[in-house]
Amino acid sequence: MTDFPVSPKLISRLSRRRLLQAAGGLGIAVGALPLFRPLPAHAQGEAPRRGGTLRVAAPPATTIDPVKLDSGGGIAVVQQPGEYLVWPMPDLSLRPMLATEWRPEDDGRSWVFAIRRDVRFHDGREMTAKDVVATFRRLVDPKNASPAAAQIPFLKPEGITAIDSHTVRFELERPIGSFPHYTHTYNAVILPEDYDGDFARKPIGTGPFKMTAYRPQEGASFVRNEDYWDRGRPHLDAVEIALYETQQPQILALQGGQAHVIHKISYIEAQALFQDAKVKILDTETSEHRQLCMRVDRKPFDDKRVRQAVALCFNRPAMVQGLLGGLASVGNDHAVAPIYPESSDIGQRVVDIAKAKALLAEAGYPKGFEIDLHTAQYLELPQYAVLAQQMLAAAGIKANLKVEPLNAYYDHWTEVSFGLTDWAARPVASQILGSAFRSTSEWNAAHWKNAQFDALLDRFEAEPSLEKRQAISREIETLMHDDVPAVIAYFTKSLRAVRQDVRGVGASMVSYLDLRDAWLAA
Amino acid sequence: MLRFLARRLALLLLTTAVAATLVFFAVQVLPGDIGRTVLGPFAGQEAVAALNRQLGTDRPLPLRYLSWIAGVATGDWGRSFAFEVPVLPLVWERLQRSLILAVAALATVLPLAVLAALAAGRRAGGWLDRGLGLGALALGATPEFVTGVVLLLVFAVWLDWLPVQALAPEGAGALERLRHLALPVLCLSLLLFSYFFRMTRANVLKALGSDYVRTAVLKGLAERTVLWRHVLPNAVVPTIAVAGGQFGWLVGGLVVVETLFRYPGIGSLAHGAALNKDVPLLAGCALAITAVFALGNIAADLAAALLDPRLREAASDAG
Repeated sequence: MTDFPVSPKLISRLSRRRLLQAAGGLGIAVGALPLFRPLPAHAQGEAPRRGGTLRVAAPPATTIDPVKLDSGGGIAVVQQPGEYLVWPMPDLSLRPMLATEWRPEDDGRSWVFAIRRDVRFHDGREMTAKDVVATFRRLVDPKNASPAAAQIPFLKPEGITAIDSHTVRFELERPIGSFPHYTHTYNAVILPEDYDGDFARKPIGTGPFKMTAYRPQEGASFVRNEDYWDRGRPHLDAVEIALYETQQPQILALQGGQAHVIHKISYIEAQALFQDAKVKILDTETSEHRQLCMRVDRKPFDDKRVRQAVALCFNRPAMVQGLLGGLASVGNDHAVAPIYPESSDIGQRVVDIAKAKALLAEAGYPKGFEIDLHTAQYLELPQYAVLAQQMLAAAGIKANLKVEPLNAYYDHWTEVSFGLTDWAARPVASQILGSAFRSTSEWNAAHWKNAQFDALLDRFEAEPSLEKRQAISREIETLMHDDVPAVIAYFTKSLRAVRQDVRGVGASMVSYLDLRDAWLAA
Repeated sequence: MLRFLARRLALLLLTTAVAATLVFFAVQVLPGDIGRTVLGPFAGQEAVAALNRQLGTDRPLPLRYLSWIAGVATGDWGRSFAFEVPVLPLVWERLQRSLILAVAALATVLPLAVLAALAAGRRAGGWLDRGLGLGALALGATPEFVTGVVLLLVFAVWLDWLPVQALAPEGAGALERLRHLALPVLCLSLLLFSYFFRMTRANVLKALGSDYVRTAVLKGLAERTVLWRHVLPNAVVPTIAVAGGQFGWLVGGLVVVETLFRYPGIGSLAHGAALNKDVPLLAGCALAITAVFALGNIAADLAAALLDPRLREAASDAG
């Protein structure tokens, strides 16, 4: 196997430079006034056309209670009537939404948000600091079951207070340099203080669309919120979100003109659409990736040399090409994706079977070993596993594939010795680093307990200066690259398919659905 | 006859109760955890435990079963864990939708298959017989997701005659609903045609070779009369019995067709509930589907009895 001519270093350097130019220093959102508005919907010089119904094909949903929800479809549904304090832009900058400004106090230990004035909930009541406080307290209250609690573990109910009717202070348990990014975790749509838990029956938010109907497993209907605070938006009269169990019917619906947008589409499923003249495939760089975790507390992966040997078996450029048609950037066995402004250039690991064999022999496995490789029947994971099996075989490692249904895999993914897991994109590098690799995290599937890493991560997380974070990031990357708790072979791009007449809809790193600027060309 | 019916209905109640109980206990051993399913892989264990507590899945199994069965008996089928809505209205809505599709499919395919079998059987070995036989065999061997995708591509995407999705928009008229149903009905008809055709054809041949048909021909009846009065009723009875057996499957087992044509019926509801380990919803679906299976068989027995006096006698004797 040969390497592909495009240097991944070059790719990551280019994207980082572009990012720095665009963001002008992300994370130092000190007194952040809106530095830039979102790209105008009429990028081609057309004026948005008012009216029309946009039909979106979305993945399935379980509950749509914003406090509990976690499903892709549920998030897309809730994001039409509901809004966050801030919105993540494709370049990882933040667009002010229900918050207009924010600033850190006490070196990032607490953050103060100014709440937008004259915003009304769909039932006519004014949205104030009280509602923001209630929303975040609800999410982090241990009595409630919310995935958000684990996303913002440094926030406790008593730390959230209203300073006045339109100012909120978040006092954190430790300094967090990029805290504003955490406020758009998908559960954190601002709900009225007296929200009763039944969002399907009473979908009251502040968003651009009001939800008029919701049918489990089928979809939801929305109409324009005539009193939306951002005057002139949205352009559409109505939105229909249809929930689909699988992607093939979504593709047929898009081709047959019964859907305008496929919310999220995997590279494999998008094949049928790349050649279709009626369809555009939008993409955006993300920090989404796959972790091939190796349990460092069990044989054979308790020896660092064995983990390095595994990592040396992978021909990453070939995987990016073969599994994803090039729609990914090469990874280097650390979780700081090239899209993050902190990422640095520490020398790419390339395939080296001879070295892998030598390391295995040193570690006492001259003939290699046999191991079960668990993964889920999801996205390109099964194909990845097959490729991994072939690549590992070259060094004498015999991987027995255990491809399981998604739920079954998630039942024991942190238990298995050798597991391949999909990790969704996070807007902040420390979120992934903390969830997947901090020694205290329950999703540390590698069971990697590294005091040096934990200390670095604490500093990284707390640091409000991007320049200093970059220096820390370099140490983190080097440490992970050397110790290899997980093989991270690539970071995927996020794809969205739209019909040619759709304007003002972009792909999203975190698969959010923003239809404020969407419109349909005549 | 009435006693026969009463006995069958009592048996139906028993079957449904046993099936629901079996399903209730069987789903407990499915892998997965409802709290984990709803909150996702990255929710904290604390949150998962809190949700499971709220849903009551941490209570002992016999207790959960008793409160569920008591609820079912009083018309409260519980709340779906994953969708957070009452089970009964959801199951009822989906069941109606599935019944419409199943009835439409049977109403299309049964007359077609029977007529084709009659035409083919009349000249066994002729070109019509061979052509139909071959066609039916090919259709029956093609899985529904292949037939379905081809139908969708041809009629909905290329020709743009019919909608891609079988679910008509809210407030659509009866005609519009039928138009939306056309493709899945066609897909199911193609799938079932070979089964019904071959079975009826075999019975047509058997009837044609029987003594009573020979007698009818010899006494000088026209071929038409022989076919319609003597061959058809005899050949169609087993087909109807089979159709009754198929009905339950048509209502409850169409996950692929429902998903492909986006016609959420009770099959995909049950499928989703099983994946989510949504016990109240899955048990509710199982109750409804079992009832339809049993009712389908009873209906087929009744129809067969109407066509065949011998069976009518037997039913009365048994009753």
